[in-house]
Amino acid sequence: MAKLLGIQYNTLALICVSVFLFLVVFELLTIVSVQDQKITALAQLVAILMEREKLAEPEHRPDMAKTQAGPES
Amino acid sequence: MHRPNRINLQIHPAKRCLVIVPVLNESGSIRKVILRLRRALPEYDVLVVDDGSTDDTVRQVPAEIPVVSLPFNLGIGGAMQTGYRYAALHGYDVAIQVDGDGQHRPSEVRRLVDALQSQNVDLVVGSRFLEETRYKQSFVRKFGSLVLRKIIRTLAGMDLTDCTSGFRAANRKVILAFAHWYPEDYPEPEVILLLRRAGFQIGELGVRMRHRRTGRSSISLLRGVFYVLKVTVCLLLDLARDPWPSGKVMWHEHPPERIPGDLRWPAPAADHTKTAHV
Repeated sequence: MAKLLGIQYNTLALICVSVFLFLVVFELLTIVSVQDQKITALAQLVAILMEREKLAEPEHRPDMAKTQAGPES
Repeated sequence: MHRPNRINLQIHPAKRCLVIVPVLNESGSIRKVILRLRRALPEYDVLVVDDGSTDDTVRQVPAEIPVVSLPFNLGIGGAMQTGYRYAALHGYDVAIQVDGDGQHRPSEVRRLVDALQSQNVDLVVGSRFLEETRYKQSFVRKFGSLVLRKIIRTLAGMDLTDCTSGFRAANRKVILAFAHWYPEDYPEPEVILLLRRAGFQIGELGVRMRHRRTGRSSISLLRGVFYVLKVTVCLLLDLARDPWPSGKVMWHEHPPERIPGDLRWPAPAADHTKTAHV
């Protein structure tokens, strides 16, 4: 690899490759972190919207569940 | 004790207060906590944030209390931020965090809110240790609290006797900041340091708390030690963090039109163009 990169000393080549890989990992972790924040924000807003539209957890409102089942039976 | 006038409460209370109750598998205690809150604080709104409970916690909540159910577990930080987002979107002036395990006494909530004004601060932390109480902690938790207290005193320049307490009240400015960004894993001590560095004022009030009666604490013995180490690293990293830059968080945001007593937004008009800024 040192010959391919044109670097005379093998140790130096190893250090360069290690630094490169470290930067790649760091960049990927940064991307993952940003995406994680976006996912968290989306999950929170979806939950709030579902509460507003009364779409979630029908067992929390048994009165509504009975009302919805009533006309159908 | 002053009993609020029930007729006036339904019109326009002076400050709109939201009690945020984050829960994770607290089916044994949540109903009692909610009923106590409603009895002690009839003029306050209550919101339950379900952080992915796998038992019938949600079914124990009375039907008139709104429940925001997260699609998967986000941790205490994610659950609380959901509550603060909700408070910001609905235009609340004060948000109070009350745990769903029954440790926090609803009778102390009003004192927390009053302390926000009397101490002229942005966040008030209810402390178990500020005054002499019968509250006892295990040796590991006591040692961990002491270590964190000293770290916060060194880094933030303020001495909080209970920086891990989740019993706290925040004003509108802090609600907007938290809706914008909130630490994820163990936010209580991090928030103290970050708010202080961002220029917010933090106060403390001695409160009485109960010991956990039902459910299981998320902090066991081994996790307690790991918790102290992790929080210490997080606090040191927080020195380089600026989560609430003044340009990004809208301090003078105009909240949606206030609806007295009801948490529901009005039915959308044909040309409804309001958008949320959080």
